[in-house]
Amino acid sequence: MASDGELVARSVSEPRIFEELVILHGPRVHAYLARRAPAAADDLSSEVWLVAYEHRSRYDPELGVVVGWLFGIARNVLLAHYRRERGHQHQRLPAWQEESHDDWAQVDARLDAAQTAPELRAALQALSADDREVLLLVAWEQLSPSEAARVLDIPAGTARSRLHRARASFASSLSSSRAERLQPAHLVSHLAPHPRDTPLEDS
Amino acid sequence: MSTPTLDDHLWAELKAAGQVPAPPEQVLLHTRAALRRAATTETLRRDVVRLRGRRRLLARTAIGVAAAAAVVATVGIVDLGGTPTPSAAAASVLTRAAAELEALPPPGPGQYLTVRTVTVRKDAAGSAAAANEVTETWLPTMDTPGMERVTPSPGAAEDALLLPLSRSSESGGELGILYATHPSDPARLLSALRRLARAEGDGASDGTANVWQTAFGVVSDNSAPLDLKSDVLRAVARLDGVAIVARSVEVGDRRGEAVGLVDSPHATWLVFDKTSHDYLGVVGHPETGGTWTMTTTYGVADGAPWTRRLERQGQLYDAPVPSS
Repeated sequence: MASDGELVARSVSEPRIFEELVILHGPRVHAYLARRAPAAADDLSSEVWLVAYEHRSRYDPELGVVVGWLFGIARNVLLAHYRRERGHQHQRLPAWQEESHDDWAQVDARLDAAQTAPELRAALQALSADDREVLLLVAWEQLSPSEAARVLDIPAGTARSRLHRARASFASSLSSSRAERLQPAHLVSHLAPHPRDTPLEDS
Repeated sequence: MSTPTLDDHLWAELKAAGQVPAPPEQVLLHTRAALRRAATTETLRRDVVRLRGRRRLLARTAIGVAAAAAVVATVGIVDLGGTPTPSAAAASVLTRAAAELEALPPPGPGQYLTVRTVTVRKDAAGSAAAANEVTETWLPTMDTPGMERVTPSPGAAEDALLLPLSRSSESGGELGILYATHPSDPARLLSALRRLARAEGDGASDGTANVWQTAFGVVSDNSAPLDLKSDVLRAVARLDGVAIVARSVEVGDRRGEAVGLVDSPHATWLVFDKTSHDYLGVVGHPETGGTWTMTTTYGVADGAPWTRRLERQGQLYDAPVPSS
């Protein structure tokens, strides 16, 4: 079976082959969009694939795997969608949201609708947009830190640092809020350092 | 004090918060069909549009004439008629064909305009290749979505795709603008086609060959309204170099006269019935040899088959389902 990279490369001369990538990764790309812009995910998903198809000859395997490339395109399409939405709203947004890489209000609304615990939502919101983005790419999209770096077009070491910071901050916020609400002692006590959170050198 | 970390329980809770429903099947089918259309268009265009930057002396040289003759031979022309017919004759053919398109019986309320295109590719020896494709489109008159069925060549591993129609009028950029606001005045429409040709991609120009290919794209687009197609035919009648390039040419199982660019042997030909002036289809001439044809048939249907009501984002719409 051909690898993703081989499919992209072959699709340059045999365009029909590109459709196989939709079968392989279409649900993942759609899920990424559905988590961040639920109402527009169907349309944005098609847009992502058409943009990827149009730019497939520019895919460089040395810069990362196909999935990272696809999510990078999905992110750009999503950001363009946010910009359009903000333009349509004709209203000034809070400064934190103007500069944000995500639209936390939409993500949070989805989490609220899914009856996600309020303290988990609050812990995510407390993160910086940059840190939250890396954390969610790893947790929700199941990308490695290196793949997340490809999506965000940042060095892999930077992604790992952000992930480390985000995990620590998220755990701290969530545990604190729960410790306040419940009996704190036994919950806080097991928050030992985790080897997964050790920042790695840039590869 | 140690740094708090994300233990497995919290990590699992965070991951669970990211769970979303699987995408509706129709969404991915729609995407695949859009890609399939783009791939087909790209393949056909790649075969015929390598004219950018090419010197237009080709047909005036002995080599060019030989190449043009070779192309003519492969598509079954029985009478080229010597030197190309002056463009006034081509303009007449295009204008009458435009009138015929406009005169097609319009579908009544609730009916569908049907468009069926069959694409057949042949190698230099005349054998039909595997990349045949049938596209059937149902364009509604009422406020319901259109439908499209794309069937690859018989025996291909891919299944036919049945899905809501994606209209070019919903595209962004110059293409969407052209479809939404196309001027009926031929000169203004020709200017709009030039803008679209320029906007098509890296290195695109508004040269004659590109404008002609852009016009071919509109005329062969199943989702394009008939009044736009007829107006485009009138507009390109004004294009320098447009001429009758073959008096009798096969396109599918039909035969008609071909209009193309006189000095571009690889440009697409639009083929029209000599008696009824109906638009029959297209003949393409890849630089790599062989030909492809795309025949088009219009009709009216009382309904679009295989429909069911589906809900998407809170709205009901007709969606095609496979007939069983």
